[in-house]
Amino acid sequence: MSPPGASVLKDAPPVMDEPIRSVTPAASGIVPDFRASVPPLARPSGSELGRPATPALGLGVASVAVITGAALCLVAAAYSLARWGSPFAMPLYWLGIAEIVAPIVVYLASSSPRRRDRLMAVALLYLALFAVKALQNPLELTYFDELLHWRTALDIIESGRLFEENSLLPASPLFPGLEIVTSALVNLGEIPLHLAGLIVVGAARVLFALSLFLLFELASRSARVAGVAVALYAGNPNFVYFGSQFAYESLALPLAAFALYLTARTAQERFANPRLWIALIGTLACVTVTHHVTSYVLLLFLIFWSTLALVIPGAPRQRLVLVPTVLLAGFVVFWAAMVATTTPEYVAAPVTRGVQDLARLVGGEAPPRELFRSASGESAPLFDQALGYLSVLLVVLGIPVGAWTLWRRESPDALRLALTAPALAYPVTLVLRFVSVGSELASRTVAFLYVGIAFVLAVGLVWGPWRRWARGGGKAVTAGWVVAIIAGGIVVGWPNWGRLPGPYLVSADTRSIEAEGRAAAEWTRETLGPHNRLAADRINRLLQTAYGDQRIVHGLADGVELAPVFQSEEFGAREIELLRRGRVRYLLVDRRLSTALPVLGMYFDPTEPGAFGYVQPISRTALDKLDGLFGIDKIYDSGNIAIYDLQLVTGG
Amino acid sequence: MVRVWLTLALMATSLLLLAQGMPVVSGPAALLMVAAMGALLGSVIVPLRLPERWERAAVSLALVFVALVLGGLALSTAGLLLNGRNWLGLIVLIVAVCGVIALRERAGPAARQRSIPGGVWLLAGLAATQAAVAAGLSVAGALTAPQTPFTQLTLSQPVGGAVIVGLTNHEGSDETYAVVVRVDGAETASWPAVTVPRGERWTGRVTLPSTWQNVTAQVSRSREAAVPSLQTTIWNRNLE
Repeated sequence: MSPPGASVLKDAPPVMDEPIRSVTPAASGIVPDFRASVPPLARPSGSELGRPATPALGLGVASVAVITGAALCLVAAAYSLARWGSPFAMPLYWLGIAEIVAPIVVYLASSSPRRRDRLMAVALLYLALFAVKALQNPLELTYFDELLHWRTALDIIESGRLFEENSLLPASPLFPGLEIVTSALVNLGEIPLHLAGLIVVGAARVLFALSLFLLFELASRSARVAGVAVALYAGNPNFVYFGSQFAYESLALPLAAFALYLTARTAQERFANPRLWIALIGTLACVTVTHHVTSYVLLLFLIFWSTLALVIPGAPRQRLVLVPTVLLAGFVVFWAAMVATTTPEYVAAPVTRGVQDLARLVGGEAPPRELFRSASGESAPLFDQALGYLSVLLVVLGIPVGAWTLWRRESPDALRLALTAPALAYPVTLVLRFVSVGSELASRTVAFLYVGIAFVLAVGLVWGPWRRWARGGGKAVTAGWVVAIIAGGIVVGWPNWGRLPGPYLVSADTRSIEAEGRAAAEWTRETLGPHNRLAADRINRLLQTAYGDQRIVHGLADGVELAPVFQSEEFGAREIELLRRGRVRYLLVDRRLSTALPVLGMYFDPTEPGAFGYVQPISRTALDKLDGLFGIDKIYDSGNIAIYDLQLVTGG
Repeated sequence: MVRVWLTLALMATSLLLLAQGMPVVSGPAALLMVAAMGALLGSVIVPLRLPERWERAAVSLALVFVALVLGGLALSTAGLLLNGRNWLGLIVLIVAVCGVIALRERAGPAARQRSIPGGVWLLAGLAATQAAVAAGLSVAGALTAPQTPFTQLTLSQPVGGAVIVGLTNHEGSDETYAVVVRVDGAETASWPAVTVPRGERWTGRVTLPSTWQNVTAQVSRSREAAVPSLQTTIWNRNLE
């Protein structure tokens, strides 16, 4: 027998946990207290519907937090076991991930939590997944991009000035938002740089969760849809690892999400609260000076949104979106013209390479990249592959259902349409995964598209057709769908060898950062001094930049590709000419490059001869060729790493 | 109004703690100061419109980032260094301005406060403890992880007619090395059993003859056969 009143409510519009404010414009400039003007929605209590009463405030999410805390202990234990090569590490890791994600997602998918509890739950989910990355290497930064930004932050702390050169990532000092905030904490409280970076990125994660929730709630008018959508965004392949690193996008993306929320808010309230506009302008400026691509994508989205607002009848308030659009365009142009003048070229380069690779693929000139197979030939485990394909399938299937559900239930709205469009573009990005450079491009693009994807999927899951025939209103379907997408996102976005710490691997970014390379970098700084022109492979140039403070000579900064100097078994006129052109003073050679194929497909750069197609490692003879040569000083030897002083040869 | 005064008091407390100059205290004090700045900015920007605690928290958090980033750019543009003193001055200025604005604002009706059951605090404390245990586990795992041992051998350029041979032991235990220095192939100096404690550095000075072409330093572990495991070489730059 149905509970009393249930049939009346069966087809009612979604009821929020707590009333959404319908803000009225200010009258005669006086800011009204809208709490007095907006009555709460009439809503039968749970007991009237025969359901249990809503739990005490915070009790549900606090219970879930205890489970999350235990799960983090499992993940930390998995990492410790992985360092010793235990076969139990990966199963324990996945158990921890499941224990973090599943309870929170089930909680968000259910109808009983209060709005405030949902907000706390999404913040908890994002913090916990950030902790998954932070616990991996708690004592130092080990990701490629992290060490590049570490250098920029150190430069600001040591010199007190902005815009110091960073030869490995020239764009980083030109978009110093992240480093400014981090250096402020270091300077104010003498907090270690690594810890300050964790605090900043962790706080940005919380901001991200709250901002996305508020944005999705405005768009859907449902806290439940908002909560599920925020959880779904964690299924973005870049979310857990790449997006949690100490890099400029990790701060810019949360700020951009906050800017979107403020834009929707101010468009709704018009000029009722002028101070919100000040906050919005400040946020837009902050995004502009923090990350180039995020500001460009945000601008594109705002242009699209404001265009829709102008075209769709009956949405006059949203036409105010044009104001932040124009402001952001001004900020972006100003910054690119006055400060970051080299950025367009830098941003265009990987896009151009990706398009060229795609053209070669389409033209049959190059074979497609094999999915779930590293450049060194290692295949991902079957479990990973199955999870990856499943998550993509669930996303692809869920998007049209969500879009159709949204179209049926809600009147056309510029914001909802603007969020739906990126979701519809998702299948196109899947094609990019079949080319090497394009695969990274696809990953980076999806981080932005996923804002729309998460929204559309959440609408489909919460309001979709299965809520009528699935027991529990589709909660189990929703929770299962979301968990699978999040787990699959981890698999797709980060390789198996990178998820757990472990012994050294050749040219494998985080798995190649270890004590011997770091010691060599610290020695160069202490003994040779900073800012010497030095050439090395991909990993050691990173360490020499971050810890050695050396001026790395390479293609991006100096227009000279030095990979052939390392790869050649001879040291003749060609090699000397390359070194002279680069004015290289020191050459660092890592003999471990001859022991294995590069995991990422390259030892030096994506453009090196043989990149992504190596069948055998660099020869040991090539790496040892400088030993004993007349006029070449070998000033450092630690077994695997040798450093040569080429002053007599190159005059560097 | 009470909240504003409390925030200002928190700010003052943070300043006092920072003034102590104790590293253990200065970190939390700096974070408290920044949080106080964010709270005041949030209450000034959204005094009445968004009484919901979590929305105000989002606004305050975002404004911390905005204030620090734009404030840092402003300091830089004004030709000031981004050091502790200037950051402190900037934050105090922002807090002072926001505090004045917040205190002069007409206080609206208090937001409806729901009491949080004691059980929630207990569970939250338990979760926080678990997170701390996880962090401890992770740090312990990183500190005790097996490391690939190595030794650094270095050879300096001549200064005052002598070169310095350097050995640094990263083998994880005390090691004994055999060090030989040859000038133009002839053994000039040797240390058959140099014991270098774990993590420590040893140096040896070798005086060079008036004419020489190259200097080579070789190191081997004394427990192994006398095959050099490490070798460094420098060439005379004054040769014609």
